[in-house]
Parts: sequence; structure tokens; C-alpha cells
Amino acid sequence: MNHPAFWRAGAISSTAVMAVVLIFLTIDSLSAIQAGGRNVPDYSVINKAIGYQFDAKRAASVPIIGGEELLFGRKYSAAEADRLMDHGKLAIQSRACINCHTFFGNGAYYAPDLTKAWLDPVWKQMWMPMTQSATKEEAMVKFLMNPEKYPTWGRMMPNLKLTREDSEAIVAYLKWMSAIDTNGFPSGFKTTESK
Amino acid sequence: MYRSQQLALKYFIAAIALFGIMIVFGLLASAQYVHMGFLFQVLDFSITKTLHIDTMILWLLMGFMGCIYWFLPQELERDVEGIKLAEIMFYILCTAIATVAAVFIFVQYGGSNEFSMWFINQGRKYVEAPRWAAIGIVLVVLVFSYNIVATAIKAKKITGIMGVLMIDLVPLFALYLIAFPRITNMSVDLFWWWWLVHLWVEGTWEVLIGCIMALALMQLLGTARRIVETWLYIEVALVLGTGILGLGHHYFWIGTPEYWLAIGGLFSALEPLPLLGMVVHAVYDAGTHHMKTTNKPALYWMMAEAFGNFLGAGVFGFMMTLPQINLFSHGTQWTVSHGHFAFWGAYACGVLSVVYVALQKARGLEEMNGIRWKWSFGLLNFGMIGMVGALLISGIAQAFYERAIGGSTIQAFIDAQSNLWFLQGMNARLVFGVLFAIGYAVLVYDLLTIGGKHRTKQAAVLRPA
Amino acid sequence: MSGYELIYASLLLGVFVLCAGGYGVLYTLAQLQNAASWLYGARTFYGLQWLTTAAIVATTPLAAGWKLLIVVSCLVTLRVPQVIWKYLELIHK
Repeated sequence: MNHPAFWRAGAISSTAVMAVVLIFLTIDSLSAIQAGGRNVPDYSVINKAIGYQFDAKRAASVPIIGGEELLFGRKYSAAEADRLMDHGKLAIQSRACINCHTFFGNGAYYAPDLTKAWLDPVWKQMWMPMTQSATKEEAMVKFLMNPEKYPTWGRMMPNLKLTREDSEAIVAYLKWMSAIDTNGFPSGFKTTESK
Repeated sequence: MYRSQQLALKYFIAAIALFGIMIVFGLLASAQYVHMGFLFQVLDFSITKTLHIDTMILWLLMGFMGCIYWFLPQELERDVEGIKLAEIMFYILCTAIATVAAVFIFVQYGGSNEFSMWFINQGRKYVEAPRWAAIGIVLVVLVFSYNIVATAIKAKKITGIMGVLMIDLVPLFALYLIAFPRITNMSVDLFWWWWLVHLWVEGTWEVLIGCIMALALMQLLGTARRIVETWLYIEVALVLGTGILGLGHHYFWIGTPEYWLAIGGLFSALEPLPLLGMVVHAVYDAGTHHMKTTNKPALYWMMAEAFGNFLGAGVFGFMMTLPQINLFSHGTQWTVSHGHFAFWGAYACGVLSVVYVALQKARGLEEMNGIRWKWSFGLLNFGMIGMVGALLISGIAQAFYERAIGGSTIQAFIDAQSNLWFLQGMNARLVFGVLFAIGYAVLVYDLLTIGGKHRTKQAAVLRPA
Repeated sequence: MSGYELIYASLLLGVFVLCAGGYGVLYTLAQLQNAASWLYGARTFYGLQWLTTAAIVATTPLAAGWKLLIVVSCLVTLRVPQVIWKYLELIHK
């Protein structure tokens, strides 16, 4: 035990064992989080109604996917939804949204978490009247394109020169994200859309 | 002094300069919490914060590289192979960092296209650097690896520490490649991104700093090689044995399966154990030497590393790592508090310790001491403890008002951020941040001047020859 | 978990690890200086750690599995500084 070789063998074996376990878990996790996997819905979920409900068995809130509820009054084919999501993610990365906001709680904590932003009651309560929009998605687009025009508190979102196309793609991305099973994060999320 | 050690000093200068830039942008970002509208649409929070954390990663990485370039020729008793290439890479790296920083400050972001990813901002936390710069970092790491491996081959000598170091270079390089792809699915994106961030920081970096501390201990306290190597192996076994699956504590809420709650919780709960071991070891080492050394600042920073790591990663980490608690604390200022303390304890203190070790040798000083290092040591640590304490209060308030009471909505977020507990915490953080910055200024002054008189005397003795 | 339960449980977990640290440091100092007073301090910290453990088990809403982990950790902590001390002595000779 007081010879380095003993501990060298220990270091190598413990690292190797843990790495192998991690690889197996990674294979399973990746299959669960692919779009259309166990925990993450297919991108075409943007054509459906999304709710959020407490599941007593899981002791956590889980997304509920309902019937058809079109986004921007359009029905996206699978290929169109794929393209839209890709554009949405590119818009999110190019504007470095994560360096103010958080996604699944990862990011910068300066602005609200966006995990369940699509389900947030604030759009209907505040932004729809403020932007004079008939739908939630329209209100979100208007806000994203000109956030400095709709300040709600002292800390404002800067204008990131998002085009209409960018903003629609981001809204679609947020709708898809809200349908991901996040083991109940964020805690006790209070949505009005719990059908 | 070997040529590689002259390069090491350059790396230390760059690292300490970046440390200062990190503090400047940290102060700006924290001021943006306190004064709403500060630098709005000029230098928004996303930019100040990006520069704050990216310079943090870079100064530590450059510090590590400086440490290795310092000890490598001593360890292998010959100058480093390919040193010319390494010197060129140093300047390329500095130019690349300055260019990326200028783009972040003046261009900030581009349109929704691949051009932005290649030349402006990749928009992924910690790896915002556009792809061209990421390629530069890959090249720097490759040359760094070549220097180490080629020198060992030429020297026909592989010590235990060198063996660990060389194996560690493989994941250090491979994991960084995750900085390149753009993945549409956020869950998959974050899954791999955590491989990069966690396995780099809590895996390869821990091993790297372990190697550096082993080399530093031999020089600082004259500890026998057999002892430090044994201890290094134990540390690697414990750190990687708990840390690899400790990755799971980042997989609680990103869409990954429920079993990660149990795995991540268990393994990250085990992480304080090796840290406790390091504290006991540090007390043992310091005690058997009665805190006597010719290099007091290096020894104190090394002790700060052991205790800071235990408090920041161990105590602050354990407070928030169990899934039932993390559900509330994750993604709040609570995380920020833990992050600051853990990085400070685990890495920053260690790098500062080695900088003092290197300076003693570079300036040929018999003893390193004085009053200034004590002030900087005190102010930096006091400032840091104040900052993390203030952030802890803000973070707990945020978890309480936004999550537990407010229901985690956008309005709940705003309410929590406007709460008095939260705001007072943020004010206090800024005040302690200023103290920390003063500590940094004293540190720089001390590093520039320590042993000044003796240095001139020695230089005078040397000159006639 | 309510807001107050959250803060309470989290602070107890922090104190739990702090006690382990206090115990480890004082135990090592006691061995170094061969002083009984340090040893009393070390035992006090370890006793406090058990009190914290009892409070966590009895009064927090953490799941049974995590409580078991805390109890086992507390038991293991008793031996950690002792084993490390003996081992350090062994390799330094």
C-alpha cells in the first residue's frame, strides 16, 4: 500500500471503470434525448397544444402533448419543422441568448429562464395587450424584434436585430423546448396552460 | 534558467494580465445588476459576462501552461523540444485572444448564419470564441502536447508525474473538440457541452493542477518524489473515481433520464471526501515543516488552495447538490456563489502559488517575503469570501422567492430580482468585488517588485563577469 | 419542499461538511502537536456532525436514500482523518 505502483493501478482502474459506466449511460441517454426519443419530442410537436401537469407518481410536473394547435396559423411538415428548429437554434447561438438567459437553468442568470417560457402566463397577461397582438406567438415575435419598446422593468432586453424570420424560429424553438421532460425543472412552474 | 522557463514567465505575465481584465469585466457585470440600464445597448451584460468568464478560463489555462513550461525542463533535466514553435504559439495565442476580445466588444454578434459561428460569436457559454479562434486553441494545445511528449522522448525519461500529465493531455485535447459542432437539439447540445465543461474542469484540470502541485511541493518543501507521486495517484483515483460520474449532477434537468438524479446526487455527494483528504494533507505538510519555508507567499497560496477547494467545492457544493435542493438552487445566483468559490480555491490559488515559486528561482532570491504579499493575500481572499457570501444570500433569496414561492415564472424571476435580500446581496458583492480588485492591484505590485533590492545586488555581482 | 424547508435543509448540509472539515483539521493538529486540547476540539466537531446528521434525518424532507447517504458519510468521516494521518506517516518514513 505504500508503494506508488499500488495506487497507480488504483487510479487507472477506477478511472477506467467509471469511464466505461459513463459510456453506457451516455448511449442510453442520447437515445432518450434525440428529438422523438423518450424524453424529448419530435420537432413537429410545434403543431400541437402543449400543457404542463403535476404527475403524482413522478412527484414532478410533466409536459402534456394535446391535439392540434397551429403556430402562426401554419401547419409545419416534418422537414419544415426541422429547418425551422435549425434556424431557431442558430438565431439563439448567434445572439448568445444564453449569456443573459438560462436554458434548463444553464446560462447566465441575468434574465429569466426560458425552459418553459412558451407556457408562461405573462404573455397572455401582459405582452398580448401591450403589443396589441391576437395570439401569444405574435406577441412574442413583436417583443423579440423590438424588446426596448416594451419594457416591463428596469432591466431591459437589448435590440438584437432579430428579423421576423429569426423571431418566428425562436418562438417555435421555445414551444418545442417546453415539451421536453425536464424531471420537473423549474420547480413548481405555475402555468395557466395545464390542460 | 532554461529557455522554456523564460517562456513560462511570459505565460505568467499574460495570465496575470488576463486575471486583471477578468476582474474589470466582472466589476462591470456586477454593476449591471446594481444599476439598471448601465451600458445598455453599449456593452450589454451578455458581453461583459462573456469576457469575464472567458478570460477566467484563459488566465487559468495560460497559468497552467506557464507552470508546466516552468517545471518541465527541471523535471527532465533538459530544455524543451520544439521551444521555438512554443514561443511562436504564445504570440499567436495572445493575438487571437486580443482579436476575439475586440470582436466581442465592437461587433458583439452577427446574423443567424454560419459566418457568425466562424468569425463572431458561437453563443455557447464558456466556448463563445468563434471557430477560427477555437482552431487556434486546438493548435496551441497540440504544440503544448508535442513539447511535453517530445521532450520526454528525447530525455528518455518518464517520471510518474510525467506519465500522468501525458495521459491527461489526451482528454484535454479531445474534449475541447466539442467546442466546434452546432447541434440543433438543445438537450443533446448541452449533454455534450457538459462533457466539455465538467470533464475538462473537474477532470482534466484537476489532474493537471494535481501534477503541478506535486512538482511545486517537491521544490517548495523538498518533499520526496515517491511521496508526491503516491499522493498524486491517490488523488487521481479519488477525483476521477467520483468526478467522472459526478458529471451526472449536470444531467438532472436538461431532458436526460431520471436515473441521473440518483447517480449525479450520489457521486457529487462523495466529492467532498477527497477534498477533506487534501485539507488533512495540507495541514500535515505545513505542520511537519512548522510553516517554515523560504517562500512564504507560495506556501500560503498553496494552503489557500486546499482550504478554498474544500469550502468552495466541498461545503458550498454539498449545500446545493442533492436533486431535491438543486431543483430550487440550479440556475440562480446560488450557483454563481459556488462557482466563484470553487474556481478560486481549486485553481486560481494554485496558479498564484506556482507563480511565486517560479519568481523566487527566476530572480535568484534566497527568501520570498515582505508585507505586500500579505496584503494582497488578505484582500483577495477576504474579497472573495465576501463576494461568495453575498452571492449566497442573493442566491438563497432567489431560490426562495422565485422558485419556492413564486412558481418559477418570468414574473417570479422579476419579483425575486427586485427583492431586498437579493439586491442587498448584489450591492455587497460589488463592494467586495472592489476590495478583491484592490487586492489584485497589490498582487501585481508585489509580483513586479518582490525581492527588488536583492535582485539589484545580485545583478551587480553578476555584471563584472 | 417549502422555501423554509429548502433553506433549512441546505444550511444543515453545509454545516455537515463544515463539521467534517473542522474535525479533520483539528484531528491533524492534535496529532502534529500531540496535544489533548486539539483532540477535544476535534471530538466536539465530530459530535456536532452527528447532531447535524440527526437533525437532517429527523427534521428535513429529504428522501430516505439521501438521509441514508448522510448517515453513512458521517460514519465514514470518523475514519478519514485517522486513516489519512496513518498513511501519511507510513509514506513519510
